[in-house]
Amino acid sequence: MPSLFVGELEQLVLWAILRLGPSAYGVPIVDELRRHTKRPILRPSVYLALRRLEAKGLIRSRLGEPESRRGGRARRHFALQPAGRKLLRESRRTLRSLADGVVLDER
Amino acid sequence: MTSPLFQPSPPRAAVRLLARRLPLDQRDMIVGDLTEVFLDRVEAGRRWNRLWFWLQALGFAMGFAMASARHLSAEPPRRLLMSRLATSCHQATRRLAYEWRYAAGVVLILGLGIGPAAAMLSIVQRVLLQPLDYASPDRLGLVRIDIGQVRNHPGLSLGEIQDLRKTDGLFDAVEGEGRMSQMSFGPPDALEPVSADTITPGLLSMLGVSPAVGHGFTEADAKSDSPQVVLLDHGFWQAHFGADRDIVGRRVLLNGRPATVAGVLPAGFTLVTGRAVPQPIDVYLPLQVTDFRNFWGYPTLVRLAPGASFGQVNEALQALATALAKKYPEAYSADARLRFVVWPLKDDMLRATRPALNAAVAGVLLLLLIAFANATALIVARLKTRERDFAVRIAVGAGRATLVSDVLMESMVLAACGAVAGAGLAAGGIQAARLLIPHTVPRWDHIALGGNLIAMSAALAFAGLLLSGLIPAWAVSRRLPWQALRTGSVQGSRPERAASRLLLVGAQVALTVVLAFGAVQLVRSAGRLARVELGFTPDVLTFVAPLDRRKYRTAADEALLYEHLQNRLREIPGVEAAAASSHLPLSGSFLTDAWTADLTKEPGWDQALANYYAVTPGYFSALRIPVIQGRDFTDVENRTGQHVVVVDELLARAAFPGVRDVTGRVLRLGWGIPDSRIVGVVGHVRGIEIRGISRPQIYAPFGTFTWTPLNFTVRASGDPSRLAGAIRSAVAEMHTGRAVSDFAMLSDNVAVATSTLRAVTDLVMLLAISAGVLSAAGLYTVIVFILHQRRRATAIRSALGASPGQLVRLHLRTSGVVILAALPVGLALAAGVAPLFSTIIYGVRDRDPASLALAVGIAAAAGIVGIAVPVRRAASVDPVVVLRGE
Repeated sequence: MPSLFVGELEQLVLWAILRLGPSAYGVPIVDELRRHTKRPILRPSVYLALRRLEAKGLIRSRLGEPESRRGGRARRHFALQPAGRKLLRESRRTLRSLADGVVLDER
Repeated sequence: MTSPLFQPSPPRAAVRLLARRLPLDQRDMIVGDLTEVFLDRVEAGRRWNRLWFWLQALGFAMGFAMASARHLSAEPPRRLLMSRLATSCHQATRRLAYEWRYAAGVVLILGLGIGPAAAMLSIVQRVLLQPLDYASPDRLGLVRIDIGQVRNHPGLSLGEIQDLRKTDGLFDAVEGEGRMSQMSFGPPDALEPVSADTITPGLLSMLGVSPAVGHGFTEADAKSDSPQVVLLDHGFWQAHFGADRDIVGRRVLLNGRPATVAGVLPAGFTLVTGRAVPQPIDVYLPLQVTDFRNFWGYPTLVRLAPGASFGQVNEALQALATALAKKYPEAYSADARLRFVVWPLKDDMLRATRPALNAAVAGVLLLLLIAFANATALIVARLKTRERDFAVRIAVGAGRATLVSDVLMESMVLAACGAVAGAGLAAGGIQAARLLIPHTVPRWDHIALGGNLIAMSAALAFAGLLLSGLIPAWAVSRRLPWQALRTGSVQGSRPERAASRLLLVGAQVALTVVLAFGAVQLVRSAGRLARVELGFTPDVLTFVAPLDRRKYRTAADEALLYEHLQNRLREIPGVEAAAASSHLPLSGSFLTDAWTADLTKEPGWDQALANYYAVTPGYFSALRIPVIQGRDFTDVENRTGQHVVVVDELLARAAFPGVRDVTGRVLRLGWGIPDSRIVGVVGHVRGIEIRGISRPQIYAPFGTFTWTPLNFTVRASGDPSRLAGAIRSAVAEMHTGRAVSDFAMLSDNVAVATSTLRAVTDLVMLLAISAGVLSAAGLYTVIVFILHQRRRATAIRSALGASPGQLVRLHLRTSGVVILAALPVGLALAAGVAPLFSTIIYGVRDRDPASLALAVGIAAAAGIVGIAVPVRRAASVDPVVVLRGE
């Protein structure tokens, strides 16, 4: 039974898929996460997060065409499910209302 | 790497690794993505790309392995392995359930080994190895002193405490405890006895103990001219002040004088200072350290300075002792051989019991060894019955690994059941031990069934699995299938099989001799350890009757009062004897005096010492101490304080070697007592410790010396403790001005002093007996099992008219000869390993012939019974039933 809890990395992956739109597959998702978080992101953990998100029904995937550059292997493209979009909306709202009016020492 | 001739490709082995490790639905995506990134990196001219790919591959393999371990996905190969294990476990369980007698035998043997072993080990761990309730107890030590004849005396004089404090870099703290005494507590019309102790002000902070209420003593409190302050024991505070937290600063009366309560000690606080009999203390008073020497009555604890070891400290103290002997010639004579030894406090506490505890651990190991050896032998023996089964399975294509894993699985099931049985037995054993072990054993309350016990059972069962599982597995793996198939019958008696079977019996017999020998040696030494010669009969009632010194000023007043009291006590119906003495044997307090038979010299404190008792006439008969020569004191001697003494046989022999009758001879004593004539010689009494320190004894009539409070001993017909009421009113008639206290049976004192020793030796005895029984039972089981395999041959012979007697004789001729041949081998082995037992045995010789003979007897008896029982059974069963069972 998939857990309903969505971890931080999983949320970040959801945002990255949303940003990348139709070109979202493994390689650019990792690049996108690295560019924005500015901290080391372990590749296996991203793929595991993708698998978990799919198991939870938050994203779906489809296979592309085999490519010679990939040793004849196909890409797998990811896209958000409605439940994924709903989750991001709610999480952004929660974050805003929680953070609103709170002074954070920026150092 | 970037040669244009070749298409750069990721390392193939890494790709294979990924292909094997990744889930099917993820494989292509991940390998493809990694390949893509790999090429990007190559084209970007980056270095170490193959290494990068390897690291990625390993990361993915590990990540997905961990994820699937967390049940995020169930992978087909893993599921296969699990189901294979489950099947194997199921089959093993079914086989064992079918042969439940065999399974029960192995489980019982393992449980009987593991259970007592785990229980014993956890008791030893709780009692022996757990630290004291003091801060960093490993740095704490107790100072013992050697002076003249006296060795390992657990008390220093105050001057020596000062000397130790002056040393540089050895100790963080040196603190002393004073003599325990009885005091009266409360107003004169409601006196209550309390036991009091004195401690130096720094003692508590050295031990890391802070009072539960209030504060400890300050150096100023200890000055002789400052007002008296007192610390209360937690239990005493609860009982007498209802745990009132406002107690600090309250004034109480001690021996009629006011004292201010400084604080209350934490619950459970006890002072461990090398006493044979730790006794509860109600109140603590401050002890001032002066430069007084010559009275070694202050047990001294030290905390080592950081970086100092006990070895270094003892070496440095050697130099100090030499310097002191030079500096104070009046205190230590030239041949005093003064020496201080600092013992780790924990070691010191368990000094008397350590040999017994070592024996206990050795007994545990012996028991485990026996259990595992027997379990292994039984498992190996049973595997022989499955040879044909294995052969058939190999013939139809079973792999060797499958067979070995089947055997291991059976062992594992048996070990698991053995662990459960062992844990159950251990839990029962702990309960039994709590009943068996008296509460007086140090840290008795720590003996409990703990998690460590369960863990230990599991660990022991795993060890058992390794031992008793791997050997049979190895045996299976080297079987050749056609050999087993060729014979056509499980019970076939090819020469090779018969020889290996007889070899197994022989080895088991030899092993049994060795193990039984160890068990017998342990039982005998446990018996020796527990035997204690007291020299007196302790079933007397004792109590303390102190008196108010302000009312009875002279020794003669006191002697007269006590004589009256003694006579009054003897009038109480049921009282057979009543007497008084300054100290009681094994009570933890004693007085030491020096003596010499050479009247031209003063006795040296560092030479001949004796325990000094002031007693009233009748003391010896009350305690049933035998009078060997001369007589007891007379009432006149007692009252007028004539200078006569009674000595014990040790002193008589030491003072006048070779003299048959020493009565009439004169002894010179210390303490400024005039020379005294010996009027009698009595038996030696264990006065200080059950084992260890024992000193000669000098008895003087009470009138020559006074020592309050005085201990009365009353021997009565029936139960003396019924007399407490009558005794109380008798003392009240005498108006002593102090409360009667400490009603107790002297036998309780003795029980306390011997309790740990007795408890441990009882446990060792139980362990050793079960080890002996188990080793004999193991041999019996193996022989029964092996002969059971031959029941077909036996049945055929029986069908052809052989009588049971003839059959037994037949088997005795084959197996019996092997047993006979193995007995001397076992005997030689036992004699060979005997020195290994020498550290754990006590009072028994290494190669004790009686023990060796008994061990051989046990093994022979188990062997003969093991032959007779199955053969008789096989002969009595209808042969047709046996033969049909093929």
